[in-house]
Amino acid sequence: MMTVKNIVYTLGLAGLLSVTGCSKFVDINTDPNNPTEAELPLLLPATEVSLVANMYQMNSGASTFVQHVVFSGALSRYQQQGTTFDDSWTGFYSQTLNDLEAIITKGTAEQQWGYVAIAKLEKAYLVSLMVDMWGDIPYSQTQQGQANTSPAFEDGQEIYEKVLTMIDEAIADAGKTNAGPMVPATSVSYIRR
Amino acid sequence: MIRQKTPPIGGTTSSIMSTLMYVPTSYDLTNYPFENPIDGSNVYDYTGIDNPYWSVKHSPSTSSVDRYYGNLVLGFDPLPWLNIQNTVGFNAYTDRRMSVRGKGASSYPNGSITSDNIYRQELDNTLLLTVTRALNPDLSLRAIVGNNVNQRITDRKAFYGDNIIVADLVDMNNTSSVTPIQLINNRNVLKQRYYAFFTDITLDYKNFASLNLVGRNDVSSTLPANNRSYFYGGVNGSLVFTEAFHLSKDILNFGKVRAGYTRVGNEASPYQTESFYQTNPVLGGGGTPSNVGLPFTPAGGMTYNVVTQANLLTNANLKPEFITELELGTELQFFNNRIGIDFTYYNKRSTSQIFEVTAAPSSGFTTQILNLGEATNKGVEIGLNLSPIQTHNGFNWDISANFTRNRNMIKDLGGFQRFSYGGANGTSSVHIVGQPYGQIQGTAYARDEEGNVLIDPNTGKPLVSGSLKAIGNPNPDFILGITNNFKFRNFTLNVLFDWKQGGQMFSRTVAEMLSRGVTRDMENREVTIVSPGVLGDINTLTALRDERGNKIPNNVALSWEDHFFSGSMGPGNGGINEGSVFDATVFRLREISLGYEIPKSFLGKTPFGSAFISITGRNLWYNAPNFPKYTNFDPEVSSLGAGNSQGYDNLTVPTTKRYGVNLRCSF
Repeated sequence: MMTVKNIVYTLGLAGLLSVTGCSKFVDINTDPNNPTEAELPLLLPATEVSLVANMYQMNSGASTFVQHVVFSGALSRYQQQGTTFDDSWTGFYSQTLNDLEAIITKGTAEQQWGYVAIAKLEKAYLVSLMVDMWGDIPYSQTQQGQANTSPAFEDGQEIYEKVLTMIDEAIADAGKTNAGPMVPATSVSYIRR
Repeated sequence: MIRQKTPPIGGTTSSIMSTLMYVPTSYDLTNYPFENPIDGSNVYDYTGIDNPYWSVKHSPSTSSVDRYYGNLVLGFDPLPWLNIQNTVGFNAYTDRRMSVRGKGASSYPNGSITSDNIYRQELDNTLLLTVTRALNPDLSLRAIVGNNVNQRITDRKAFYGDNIIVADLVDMNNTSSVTPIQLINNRNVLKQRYYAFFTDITLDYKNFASLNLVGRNDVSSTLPANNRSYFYGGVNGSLVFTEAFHLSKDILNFGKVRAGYTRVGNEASPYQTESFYQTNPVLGGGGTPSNVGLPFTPAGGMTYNVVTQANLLTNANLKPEFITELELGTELQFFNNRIGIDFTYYNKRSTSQIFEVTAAPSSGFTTQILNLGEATNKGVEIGLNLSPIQTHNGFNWDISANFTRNRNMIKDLGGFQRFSYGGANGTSSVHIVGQPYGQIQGTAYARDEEGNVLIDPNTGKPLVSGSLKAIGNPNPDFILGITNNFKFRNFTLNVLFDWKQGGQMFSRTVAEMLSRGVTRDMENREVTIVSPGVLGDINTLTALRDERGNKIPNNVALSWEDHFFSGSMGPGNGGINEGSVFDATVFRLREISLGYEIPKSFLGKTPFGSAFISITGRNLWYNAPNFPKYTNFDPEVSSLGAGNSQGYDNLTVPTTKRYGVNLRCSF
């Protein structure tokens, strides 16, 4: 009977340990391969590279349309499809605007106004180009994660007006920085005021 | 320990199955040279393509798998009715893969080496407390209470070495530049754990009635904290009614009914709950020059490393998957076990299944993780055992047949009408609400309201329907397997025959064979052919009418080559996918084995108690009647393995006949 008692104690102890240690035991779902936070000096050059890289399709398409250049593709015969400018659309939203939004949010919280100003100016520039290109586009409901996976299209004219406000904000943010470079030398462009 | 070496296979341009399509059938490659005598490079009749013999010799893919495992079981009985047992298990393997494109290949003259090292490990601990007690003379109880802890790890490292320096030396350092390969979402290391408490209680009454209750609560690391603990279980009962009601055993000597209702929960894959960033991915569009590899170094400038938000939208509210199943069955034995029937009906309902689906890019992501909808699987399984001949001189003949029929259906996709995934070569799999699971999706013929194919009056080729469509259902109608077993004294003969009815397949192999004209199906190629269909309007995709308002049957003749090539009716290369979908019904002689039980007298002084020797032939004959006759195609191939995407053949290596000798001894 002694052994039974010991076993009961041991099991009880194991049970107790497992109750306290359990939530830690399964708290391991943070991706060890990728960062879950991003530093501003690393985010900013990403937005600049993806902004320019994703313009390729739009620029080459527009140049083809006005016959500055000629490619053998369908566009040179004015055959435009719903998917012709997909790469630019997808890239601007899923590579550039989301990182810009991350910089604005994080930069505002950390009062890194140089980064915020640059990100707002980039965003204003990109969004105005996108309205030029596509007219009505999703704007204020994008980049909300699971909260909104189908952002609604908004009136292009109203977006233009919001863009002008954003430029004013950016100028005000830039005014909060000290003299000298607005951000350390981490930005591919826009290093100086 | 498994060592495997294969030439390039699969749907890539340098695979041997694709390069073989360029060889005229009258041409025997066997005794022609395939290496350049000066530098050993590839020699073939077609630019940019490798001779299959050259690939076999210089472009091997190797895989070395080693397994390590062990179990430690500790158990004892502290009381006559109580057993405690603990099992610790360890199971791991390494898979070291190397894939070479030989230096001097026409498909890639510089050559390259890709290495991929995979380590997988599973640790498992199961503690069981088992109570076995007779509650009264008629009623016995077996109750298990247990705990299960499990951890799985995958660690994978892949590298690409470009430009082989010395030919045929397979070593990473023998390449001029080595770069790490980014797996999807850079997921090199995966780790997941769960722990569970469970119980399994069985009550047996007089050996004819049984009731079983199971319950289990899992806590998984792969789910968010508020959803990670989930309970499931079920109840099963069975009754041997011939015993319970003391029925006469003249005809029905054994009869049992069973019923069960169970629910099973399932965890997610790791790291689908928390948003993440990526370091130095490729930014921009899909191809050169719109994509920019990182780190980014402008001309004369400094190097920029970047971090950017991942394109996968993770789900902080992820829930476990559940499958609920109702199962009813009966087992009947007639005439002293000469005839046996085992019948099962099941109805499974899968809910909140976890999928990675495409997202609207304007959300900021291109794919997202979701718990989606509902799918059902209903079916019957019938087993039939017959013993037509049982003699006293030792000759016995037994037949056992198995019939399975499953019908699956997508009931709900959480507000979506359809979503696509997987697939190969321009086609994909698709779930559509109200239709069967995982259909084949691809380009389809434009049709009129009666289903006639619309033909372009200018070219004689079919018009393409505007959007991608479900063009085939890979799920078979039924599967029937029949085993005949003959026994005479020490000899045993086993014959297994299979019949799979229905289920469709998109076959790129058949499409290529027909359009390249390498089979006798193309014997009539000297004449022209008129594709079946009616003339259609290329803009409105409706049937054209003659002056009396009747539809006009296609009247444009094409050469055979044109009919099977470049956007024609096909089946053919570059054609409309729908043309290359076939009914995959197949009859197969799966296995014949002849065995001999070596007589005991013969084994007299050897240490063996018994010995059995058999010769086996597998996959000896098949016929898929709905594929073009001379392609002799075997649809029992799948380019995409046993996953969710079924019904694809992307230049797969054909199935093989196998012969074997088997010796089984016991001491």
